[in-house]
Amino acid sequence: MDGHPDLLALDALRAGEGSAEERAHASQCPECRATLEGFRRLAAGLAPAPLGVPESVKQQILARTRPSPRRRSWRPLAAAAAVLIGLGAVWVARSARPSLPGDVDRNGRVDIVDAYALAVRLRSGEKMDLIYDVNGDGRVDERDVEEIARRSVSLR
Amino acid sequence: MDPRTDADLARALRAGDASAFEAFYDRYHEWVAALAFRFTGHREDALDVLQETFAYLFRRGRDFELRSQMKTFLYPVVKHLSMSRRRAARRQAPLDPKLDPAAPPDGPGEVASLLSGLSDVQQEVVLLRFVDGLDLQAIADALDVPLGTVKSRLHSALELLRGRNLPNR
Repeated sequence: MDGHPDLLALDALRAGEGSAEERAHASQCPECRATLEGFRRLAAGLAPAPLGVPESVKQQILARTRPSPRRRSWRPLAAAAAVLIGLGAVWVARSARPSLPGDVDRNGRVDIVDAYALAVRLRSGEKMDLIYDVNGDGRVDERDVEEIARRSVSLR
Repeated sequence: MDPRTDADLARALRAGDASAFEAFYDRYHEWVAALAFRFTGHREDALDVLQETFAYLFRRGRDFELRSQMKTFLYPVVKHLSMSRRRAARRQAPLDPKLDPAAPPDGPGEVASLLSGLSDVQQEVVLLRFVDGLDLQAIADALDVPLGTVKSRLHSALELLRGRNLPNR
């Protein structure tokens, strides 16, 4: 080869790259060998000491990126809870049915407040259970409101 | 040690393989931490940047494509996160000169000494080449500059460094 390898070529030799011809030249040429040795010392001087990353950092990172086993264990628990809540809602709904016909607010007596409560619920469009069919005509409507009102003010 | 190549790990990560993410961490966490320390000069900040970097990789997981070397992907991420951290630190304590993002980090003082007189861009290329072991094309990819620019910066830096009496180790 003609002349010396340029600085990039010598640096490539330092890094284990470069051609066999350049390597042969550098091994024979005192000037190039000195430059190459200087680059090697520079690389050694710049090499950082290991920072020593604690294992806990890895665990924190993995914890942030993985769904935790604890969270997974919630899924069957949540499903079971949903079933229980559903069953409970049915029980509450059934137990909420008034035992006294016309006792809309389920306070144990039938009075004008029940008539008012039923009227409000009918006007809101709520589908009413037949338990409120106090006049026994098969429907829950304004006639039942009137019947509750009549009973609430009747002499016992 | 996971025997898969980085390209294999990238494909596995896209497919949702959690072990690929862990293998990337095992392979690159020391380098990322050292690089973050080079930028921040503070160990705790470097460890925070390490966490943020891998959190970012995880978020990218499903659409992560390794177009070059892994270090060329990680380098701008670590640099950006480190600089953000230094800027935030400066906002919190603007009167502390050690927290000036324009000032050199206070950690690797010997590096600053060895590379004194080089411009910032020359120093960056020398460190990527001599410390991180990237080839010139990978450096160009990491810095998003043309290959010719990297060659020019490195050559001019080596010209300055050649005549120095570098310490023996």
